[in-house]
Amino acid sequence: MSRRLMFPRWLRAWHWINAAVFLELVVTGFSLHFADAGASVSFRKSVIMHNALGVALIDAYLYYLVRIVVTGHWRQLMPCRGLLADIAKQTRFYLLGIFRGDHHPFVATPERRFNPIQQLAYAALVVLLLPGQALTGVLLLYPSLLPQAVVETMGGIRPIAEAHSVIAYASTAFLLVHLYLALTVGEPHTGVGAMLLGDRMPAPEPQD
Amino acid sequence: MDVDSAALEASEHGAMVCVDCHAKSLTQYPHPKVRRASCLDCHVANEGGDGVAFADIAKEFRSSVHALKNDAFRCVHCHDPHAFQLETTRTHFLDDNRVCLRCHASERVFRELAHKSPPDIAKAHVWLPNRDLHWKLVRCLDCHTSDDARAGSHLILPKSRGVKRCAACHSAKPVQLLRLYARMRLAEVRQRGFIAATIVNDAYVVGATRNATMDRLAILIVGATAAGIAGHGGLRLLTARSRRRRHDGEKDGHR
Repeated sequence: MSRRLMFPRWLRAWHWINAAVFLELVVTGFSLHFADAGASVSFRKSVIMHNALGVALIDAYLYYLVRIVVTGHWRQLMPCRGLLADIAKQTRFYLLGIFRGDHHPFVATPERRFNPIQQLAYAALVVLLLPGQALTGVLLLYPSLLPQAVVETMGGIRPIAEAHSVIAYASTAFLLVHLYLALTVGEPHTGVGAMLLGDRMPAPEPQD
Repeated sequence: MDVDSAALEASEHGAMVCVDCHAKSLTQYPHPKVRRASCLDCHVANEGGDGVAFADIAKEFRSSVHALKNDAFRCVHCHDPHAFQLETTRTHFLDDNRVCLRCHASERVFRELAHKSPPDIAKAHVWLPNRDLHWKLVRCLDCHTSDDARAGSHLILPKSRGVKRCAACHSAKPVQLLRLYARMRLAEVRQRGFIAATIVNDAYVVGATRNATMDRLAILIVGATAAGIAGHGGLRLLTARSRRRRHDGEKDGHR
């Protein structure tokens, strides 16, 4: 009998590469933005690293896109019917049930890994944050890609830089919440262990 | 005669006649090379515009690498008296680089004064990220003058002392930029009460032109997220015992 993996190998590979690059982009990005106020990496080094890491993140993202389409994993991100009620249920769990020791309202299976809030957060990451950051990043790296008329209408590339900052802050907030929940809420077969070890954390068989 | 008469007419010296500067006793034609008046013959100690005294300019110039390396160096090597416009130096400050490059990018002109080949500018700036973009939007003077220079940055430093600290410009207090663009800054502060736009025109200087309000708001939100996580985690720790009791109770109930 083949073991049912919560996170297939390609997904785990992508996740950890993405995580490492993402984290370094946050560090070098803040070093650039706050070059005078306790930047942890020197400005020059940050510029070079941030550019290279940005390209790496885009490559990883494209790989991920291809993989979720080919494997059908993209369906995991599609909201199901009754989304609002499900979100309410999950929110109630995070705000109340989790303290009382209630059971998780949604049991993760390889077919449906994410609870509705996770689903929304990851869909936002995949559809808004990552491509938004990639697009604004590329435009900041190669401003000449923008038609001059557009730049003039915007009054320079400042709005793009500000959008890049907004998404960076949102991504940082995402990272904090993601780390907290993954490290403290995930069960053995859905949390960090599963993402690290994958096939040594088989998912439970579907119950009839 | 290689004086552009239109440029001369438009220049600060447009109303003057040739012999105001050039020796009045020319009798031959073509004229032999003639001794010119020194700029400071007219521009006496305290006469400069923008509150910059020529005495200060002269003092800075005497400590500059140009003066130290070459006795023959004069004002006119940078400021063409037949074309100089004060207004242009204020509004088209990026034209400054052309002044530097007239010698530093020309083997012939550089050799005339320095008696050697100019240093390879491209090679010397390899260390600088986005070198070409910097060259397009930043003045040579911005990095190659002393922090102490006030008189319109006439204290030009030797190569070894050029500013390499990125945060001198790329920071909330871009001392380098603020000092060098001081005159424009004053004009803009008078007009709109803020400085960033003049410094960069339509460029975005990472670290310098950030949106402080947005940053504060975003840091507040990210901070609130972190605080929320800490609170949530803390509450879970506090309620851990009651949860354990409940689970134990459930187990007992199953027995």
